[in-house]
Amino acid sequence: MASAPENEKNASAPEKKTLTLKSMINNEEFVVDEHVALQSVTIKNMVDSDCAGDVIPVPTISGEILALVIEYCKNHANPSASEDDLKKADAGIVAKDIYTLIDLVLAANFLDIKGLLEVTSQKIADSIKDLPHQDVREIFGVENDYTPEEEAAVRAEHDWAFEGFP
Amino acid sequence: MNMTTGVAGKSRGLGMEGLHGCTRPRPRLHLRQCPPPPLSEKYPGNADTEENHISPLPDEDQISTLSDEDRISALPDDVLSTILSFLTMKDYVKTSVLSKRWRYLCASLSNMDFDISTLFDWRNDGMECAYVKDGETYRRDTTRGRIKTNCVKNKRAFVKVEDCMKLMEIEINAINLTTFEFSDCRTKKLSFPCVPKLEKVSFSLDYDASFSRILGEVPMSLPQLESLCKSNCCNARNIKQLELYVGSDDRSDLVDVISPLLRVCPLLQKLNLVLPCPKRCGEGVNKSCLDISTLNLKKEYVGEGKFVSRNKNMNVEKIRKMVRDLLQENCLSENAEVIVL
Repeated sequence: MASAPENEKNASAPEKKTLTLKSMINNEEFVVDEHVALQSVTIKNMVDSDCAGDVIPVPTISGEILALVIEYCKNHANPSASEDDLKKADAGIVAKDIYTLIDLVLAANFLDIKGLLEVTSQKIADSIKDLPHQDVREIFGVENDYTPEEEAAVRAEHDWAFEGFP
Repeated sequence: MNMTTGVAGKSRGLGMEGLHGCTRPRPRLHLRQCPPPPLSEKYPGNADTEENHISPLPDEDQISTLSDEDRISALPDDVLSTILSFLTMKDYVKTSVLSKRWRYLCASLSNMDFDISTLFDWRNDGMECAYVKDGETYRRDTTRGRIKTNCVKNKRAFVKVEDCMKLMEIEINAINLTTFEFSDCRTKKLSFPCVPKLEKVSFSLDYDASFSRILGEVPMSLPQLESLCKSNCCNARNIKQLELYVGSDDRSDLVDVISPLLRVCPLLQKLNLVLPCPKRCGEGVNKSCLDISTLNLKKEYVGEGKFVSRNKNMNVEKIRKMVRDLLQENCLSENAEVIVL
């Protein structure tokens, strides 16, 4: 991306520079073009501050999730992709079960990829909206630690929001 | 690990440090400086132990075991807040009842920088101003629609509703909304369940029939805001400037209608009441039929006021009394300036 030429100056090889991202959870490695990986602000900062080696270890993100993240970055690094294409591709990436989405949102946050954070958050939010809170609890496995009295009190506080909900 | 350099441990250390230590700008939300989520003992789902249970390709079995864990509640505050920022205010507030963890999130709401259009129940892509022109088209969306947009950088949000003859109901939930303008509509119900930053409201009411109906509804819906204020969720009584444009000059119920509105606006500093130039209010001037063409009041708690009347039949004392009636307990300073043009 913007900083690519700068980095290329330091690159020993004249060909396209690549980075290797390695999931520290299951040691899967992914070789990606630098400009693709640099969509992650976290990685970009590492590269810019010269604290990235040839292999960048990515803690807390599994290979499966990392693959999705890289797919997203590749799509968005493609200059010929139309907005529609990107939307479709994004929709494909986030069409996952809720737990994958949660991993993905964590990964997007950790790697600081704004666009991915947004589409994933949006997708998760979509599964919350317009649902009674009981359903939300069930879908996400949220453990209710209120006593019935406490719950009623909180609910009463925000009476207006529960209009029309059980 | 950086095997190629030959000093794997060191390089790895650097790499990790980079990942953890590189500062990055907050993408979107102004959050409090959140400490790491307070639930680490209870929900050991964050960074250090994540590798224990994020395994590749969770299959059916894993998913069903994972669902026993409250993974979403274990997300860091800023991630959860990002997710919640894609909800309407109503859905957002509803999450407070999920568990104590979520209640805490909801309480931090006022520190967040929301996108007005995700909260506001109608769509206007990327526009700074949600401008609803055709009530027929937008009617459904306006009352119940649940639509989003990407204009996340909206800082100075204002909404203008105009010429929506068929728009029957407007409900506004918009945390960043500062200005609301409303004109030429026959809307029956107007409510502001959550508008904590609303400072300027302007109504232009050109249709006789709508006047008392609308203003009659607003004071009724604003007390809702009071209850929200009490829950610390939202301070919605920040209206500082209120403009009322009245189309008809024959309003015997003006005082009755406006007074409740003023009562729920304790911070009101400026009231502009614009009435048409009186055509038939020559002699038999009704007390409530304000002949003040422009009432420009800077209240500031019994501060200076300036009242302008274009009707020569109204003397200063009459106007002063009228304004006093209008404001009731919001008493008027004796020093208020009254001008009869």
